[in-house]
Amino acid sequence: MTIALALGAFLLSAIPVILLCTGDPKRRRATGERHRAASPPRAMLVGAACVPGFACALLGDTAAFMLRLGGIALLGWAAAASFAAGTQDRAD
Amino acid sequence: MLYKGATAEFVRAKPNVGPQPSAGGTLVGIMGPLHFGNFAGMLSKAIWFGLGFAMCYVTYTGMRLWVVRRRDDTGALAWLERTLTAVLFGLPFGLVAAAAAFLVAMPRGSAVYWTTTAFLIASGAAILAGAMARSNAVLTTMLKVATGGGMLALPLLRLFAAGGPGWAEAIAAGQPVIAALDLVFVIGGAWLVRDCWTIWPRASRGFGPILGSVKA
Repeated sequence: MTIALALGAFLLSAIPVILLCTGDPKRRRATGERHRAASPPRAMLVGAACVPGFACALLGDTAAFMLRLGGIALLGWAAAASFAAGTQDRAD
Repeated sequence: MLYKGATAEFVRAKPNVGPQPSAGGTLVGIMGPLHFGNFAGMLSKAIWFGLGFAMCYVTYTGMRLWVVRRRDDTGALAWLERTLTAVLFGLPFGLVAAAAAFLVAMPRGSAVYWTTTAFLIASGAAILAGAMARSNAVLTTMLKVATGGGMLALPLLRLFAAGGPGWAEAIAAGQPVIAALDLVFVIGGAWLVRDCWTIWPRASRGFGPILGSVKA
């Protein structure tokens, strides 16, 4: 149950994190990309990424909460590094 | 657990901290699982490993950024760049060498001696390579290839030198971690070697995607 809950929360949080990463204004500015039209407000995406974690906490499953927290931090780092590397490769 | 010495009668469960259960005792109790990530099986351990790897990677790239930004100002930081490379890539190389030595020496009963010795020899070799290599890019490639090759060899050494179980046998015995680690070593080793395959063109335009952008 813990693993299923953690994976579900992780997947739900992963979507807004990836969206946050694709629209990262600092990276887009650095590479000269123009602003993308009609993207959801970033604060809303941040909130959406946090909701599954709060759900784990409210359900009282601390292990699932920690798994989601660690997993989503890892995904965020990996996504940021991958997008930065991909952008640089295209620039070269 | 507390027992009476004379009669071996169970008295009570003794908390880690103090005579009674407390918040402090609970905090001490969760320190270990939170540090090692061993609270939800393989998944939590894998995530904790990833977080540790990410922390090392971010520290390394941050220091490299600092050095590369100052590369044109003064050539006096070349030693620091090499030191960074020798430490970051030399340490995994030493660990892989120690693991390989353990697998080879274990059946001969000399694992305790050779595991440590192999780590020290590999660390010395990495430091020596840091001092002798023609350039930092060459040093990086050498250490990556050595580490990647060692990682690729570890599953074979486990199977043939140490006489370890095959995947089916390990999984049947409730040890899927053996197969998982074999896979991690093969994927990690292949990634390191593959990365070196393209290192020479990269070296001519900076060093890797992140550091290349800094130079630009």
